[in-house]
Amino acid sequence: MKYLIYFLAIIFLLGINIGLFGHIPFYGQIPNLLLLFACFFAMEKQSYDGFYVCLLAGLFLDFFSTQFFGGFTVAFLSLGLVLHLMFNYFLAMEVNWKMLGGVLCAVLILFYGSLWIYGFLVYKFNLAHSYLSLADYSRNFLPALVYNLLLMYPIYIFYETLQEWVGKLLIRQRGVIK
Amino acid sequence: MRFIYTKAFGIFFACLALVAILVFLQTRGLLDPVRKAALSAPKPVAAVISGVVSPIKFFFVTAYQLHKIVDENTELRIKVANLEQNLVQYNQQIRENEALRNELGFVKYSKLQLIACTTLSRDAFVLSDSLILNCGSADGVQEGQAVISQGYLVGKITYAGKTTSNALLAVSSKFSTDARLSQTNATALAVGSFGSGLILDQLAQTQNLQKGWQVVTAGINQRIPKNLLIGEVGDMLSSGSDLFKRASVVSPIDFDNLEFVFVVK
Repeated sequence: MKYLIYFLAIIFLLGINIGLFGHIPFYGQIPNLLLLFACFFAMEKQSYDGFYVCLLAGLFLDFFSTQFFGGFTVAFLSLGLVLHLMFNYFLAMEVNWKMLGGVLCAVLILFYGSLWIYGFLVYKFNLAHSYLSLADYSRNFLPALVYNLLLMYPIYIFYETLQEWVGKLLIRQRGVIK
Repeated sequence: MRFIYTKAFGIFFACLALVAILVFLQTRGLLDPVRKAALSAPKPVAAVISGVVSPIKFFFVTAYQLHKIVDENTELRIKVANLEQNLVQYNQQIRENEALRNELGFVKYSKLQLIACTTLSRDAFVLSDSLILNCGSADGVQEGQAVISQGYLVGKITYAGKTTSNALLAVSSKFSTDARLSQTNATALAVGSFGSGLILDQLAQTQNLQKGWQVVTAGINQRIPKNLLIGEVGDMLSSGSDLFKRASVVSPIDFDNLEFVFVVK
């Protein structure tokens, strides 16, 4: 049940991304709400839901992309793995809001880096006719960072609310609350 | 390094294996129905929000550009008057041309064969200025073919799946096509420019170039027919010391809101 809710949440966020933010580009860039959403899941401790959300969000973006299939999914999964490892094995302290700018910056670098490597490899293996260069990604980097940073908190609220609903739903399903 | 043997890595590699299978299916064109379904899944949400946001955006954009619209209106009135005069001459020339063709026994030139397509979506997160179209190789779409809207060239096909295809927009920095100035027949190159539309490049310094002249396709590329309108010459971007002349090309097409396009067979 909770996976169906996550699936619907991804569709909802994608709809907002296209329907609302598609009309309000910032220096030609629109935010990536699914990236923010997947990041919050991947940062969860002792949970593997992040991988499911990363896989699903990546697949949706791949269907919406005109680049060779799989780039977004691989980038999301790599990001999910790195964040999961960081928050479960290496990072001893809790992430606070002051650090979030840095975290998002690192996330975007990793995300664009993975997309570029994937694009480069499929191009080298003659599976795609072209790929986006690092210059293309770096041009988009700063506006994307600012725009995503602005929307990080609203997406966090959405994520928290969703988790609360899912938690309550699971308890209700187990028959603890009538 | 013990974390390599954890469940997280297991899930990660299982997901990668799944992606590999999906990539294989996609290269065989078997994922097209799934892609179509995925593209239409967020449409109800997007349509509702867009229905609310679009008029608000339109109002503010119009208010912001009001003075520009007044200037444009004056300019357009003058242009319409000139064009009406040209139209009379043009009609006269058509009649003369027809009469001469009949007299010389020429076969009437064939008109363009067009495939009507609807835009399914723009590239997610505007990374590559591309469109996803709802027509594919089953409809006769092939890679390299020109995409037009309202008679103007707006891009070319970069990938043709069975039922969907990808089109690279003419304003993309990766776009280029041969071009010709309709007034002088001088050939040049029309290239997309990141954030600034289209540019006419590689025009010899010896050639004349004036603002307002029409830029059309030259027909050197066999997949893109001759005389498709690209736009008109805008501001000059090069100086006298440059090797080639460069100018911006102004297209009346709103590349952000392309809904219906035609692929030229």
